[in-house]
Amino acid sequence: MDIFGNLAIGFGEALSLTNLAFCLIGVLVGTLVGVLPGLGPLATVAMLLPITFTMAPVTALIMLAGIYYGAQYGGSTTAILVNLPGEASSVVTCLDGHQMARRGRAGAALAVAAVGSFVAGTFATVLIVAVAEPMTELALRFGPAEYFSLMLFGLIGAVVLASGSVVNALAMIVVGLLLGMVGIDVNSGAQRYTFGIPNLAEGISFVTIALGLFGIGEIIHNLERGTDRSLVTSRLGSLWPTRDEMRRSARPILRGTAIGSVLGVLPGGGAVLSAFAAYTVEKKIAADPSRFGQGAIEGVAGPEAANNAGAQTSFIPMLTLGIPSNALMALMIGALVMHGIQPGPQVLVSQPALFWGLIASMWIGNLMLLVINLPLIGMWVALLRVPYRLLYTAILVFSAIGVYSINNSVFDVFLTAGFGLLGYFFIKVGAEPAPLLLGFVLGPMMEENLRRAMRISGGDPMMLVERPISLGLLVASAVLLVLVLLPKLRRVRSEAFREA
Amino acid sequence: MIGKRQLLASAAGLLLAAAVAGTAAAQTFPAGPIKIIVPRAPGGGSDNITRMLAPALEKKLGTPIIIENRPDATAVLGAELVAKSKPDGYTLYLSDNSFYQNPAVLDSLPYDTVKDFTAVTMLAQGPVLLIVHPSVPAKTLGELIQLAKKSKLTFAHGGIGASTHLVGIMLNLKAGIEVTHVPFKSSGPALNALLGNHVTMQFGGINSSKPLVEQGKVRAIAVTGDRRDPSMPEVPTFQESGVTGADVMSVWGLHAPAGTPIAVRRTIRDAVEAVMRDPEMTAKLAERGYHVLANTPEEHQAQTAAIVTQWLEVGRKVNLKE
Repeated sequence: MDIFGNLAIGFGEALSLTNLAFCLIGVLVGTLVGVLPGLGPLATVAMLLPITFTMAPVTALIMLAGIYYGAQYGGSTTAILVNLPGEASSVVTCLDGHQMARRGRAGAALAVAAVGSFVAGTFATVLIVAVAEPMTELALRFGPAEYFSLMLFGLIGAVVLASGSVVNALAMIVVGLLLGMVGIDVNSGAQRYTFGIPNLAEGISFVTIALGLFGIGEIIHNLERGTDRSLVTSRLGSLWPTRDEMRRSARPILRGTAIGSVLGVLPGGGAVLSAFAAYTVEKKIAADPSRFGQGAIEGVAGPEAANNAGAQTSFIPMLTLGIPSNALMALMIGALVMHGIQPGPQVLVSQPALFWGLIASMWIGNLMLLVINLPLIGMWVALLRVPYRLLYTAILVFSAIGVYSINNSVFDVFLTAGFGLLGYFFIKVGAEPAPLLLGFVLGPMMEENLRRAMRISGGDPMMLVERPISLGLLVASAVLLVLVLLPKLRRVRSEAFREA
Repeated sequence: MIGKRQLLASAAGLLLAAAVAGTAAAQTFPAGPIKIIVPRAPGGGSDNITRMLAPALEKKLGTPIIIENRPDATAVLGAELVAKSKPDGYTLYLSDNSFYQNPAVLDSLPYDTVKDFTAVTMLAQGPVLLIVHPSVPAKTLGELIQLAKKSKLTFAHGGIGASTHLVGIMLNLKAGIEVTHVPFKSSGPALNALLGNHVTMQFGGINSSKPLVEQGKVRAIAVTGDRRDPSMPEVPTFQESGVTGADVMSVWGLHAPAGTPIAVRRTIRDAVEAVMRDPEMTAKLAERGYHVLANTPEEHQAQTAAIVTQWLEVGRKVNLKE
């Protein structure tokens, strides 16, 4: 395969004036919906879909893809500035990003997030070009057994996320698992914990729970402390990362890119897991893990790189197999079909300009996002100077609109308010909501896949250890568990590192 | 300050305007935007067909079409909402398989599927395709059934109560075999599991499987329906392969709240038919696995009752809930 020839075709296509313009529109719209809490790329793409029918297929796809990864950029801005995760992957960014903002390093956090995302985007683009085919094969090897073991690994990793006690984190994971059980069980079709309320049949939406626990809970807490002032008053600090911050982010960005690129290919849980996994890795290998949760720049750089890389490699199964890895990719396929192109293995051969044009546009789009976002950092940070009484009302209004727009459901708005109270309670008792969210996301997938695996094997649990990838993940989980459960060992190890 | 007379005059004016608008609406429906409630998330089969038709319908009817997604797994929420709406033709329901099967699958419904709705048209039908992993030795349905009698096989489908699940149940019933079903949230991940050889076979739509069949990554065994699908003429039907009565089609219809005037329903249906019969649109829909039907409100009314009864009968023979 002539990679350079293909890239030449791609850039030739993506650099046309029309395609550049729509790429820009896409990333701008994406950034906007990413910044607004709750309002996600899915609803936006669905609304814009009919407009794209009049465009050339490659232009339509370039714009829609721009919205998708633009939203990843925008989402981290809100996460860092006001502690509102718009989607699963930005939950992790909240942990240290918002702490940095509180310490007056919002500018640095935003800059590192933007640069990290750009580097990750560049690598992911190269990766798609070079190894799209083998990556697809890897994704196909993941059956129910492998997914179960991967989710187990993720859940054990969730304990590492918490800065407090292990017992505390475990309790939060279990609460998350229980909340994740709400709704119709995929394996039996039975309704669980819905109390006959039809609004709960589809389960609790992630945005509802994340906005409530993180955003609203914190707003109540701030108001109680009588914060009628801006979030970060004392010092905003330099907008740019210091040399030390740059140095400390470089490796996490590279590691995050690698993790995100691989996990992003897996349908469903992949993109979510990548940010969590990157954070876990950074915290595990850090010389002083106690800095995490207090505003460690590594905790922003790694996950931000990972989620952007994951967002991009999630295009691989869609482009090479025609199989959507999430609802947004399903919409993209819908858009392609409307243009008479059936996504699948033949697209690469029959539509080289479309395939390579889209990939080249992703890199161009990432560059645009960097150029747009870096100068805007000053403006975003200035937002923190807005008096809190104005800021929090705006956040509440946008959150309510965002939550409503997902399912057009008033019920969800009330549910968010309820989770807000729960979030406030968690702050009061000193429990961290991040492990809860990971339990909420991964728990149902773990259960679903375990039961699926058992159906396939006829109830034989040996299936989980007979398959090599699954076995490898289980062994890794066991190792992680030992590391978590032996805090003494961990302390000795970190001290040894510090002296070295 | 506004005088009393002025107030009265404006009130009368408002009433008059409303009355005029009322008669105008009866004569020239539609006089305002039409809302179609889709009980599924964006990107699914029911959402796709609605979004494909909406722009052309807007032009044809000269009024905006608003698509409102009210997704839930059993498609009950959206239906309940429409059942409670004003029967004026401005709120419609995109009915898919769940709508017709729910009386047989669910213990209770907050509405009566036949009495609380009135039919507009059956938009389209789509066949369900049975595919296997290439490593499976069986080349025909007969061979596959023989294989299922000798060894333990599994089939993947797109969710409890979906057409892809029910075809599998019917095949087990009619062929006297016990292939274990493995549910997925939708047909996409189910297809993934087949590609990775984690299950033996899968029931799914034609549009997503066709390119993979052509590439030899999966093998097509049989298709539901009375005749072969024109986009895959080499694949035999279930009946040709010796299994009758297992045919389940994916269906998409339009329903309005009970009491919606027949004139209004005819107007909508005629516009739908004109839009769907446009050769270019028909071809695009066929490519996506939608075979245009666009029958009359009367025909679809009878059809709705028939499908509901048919599933209630099946439900008495087999447990559709598991």
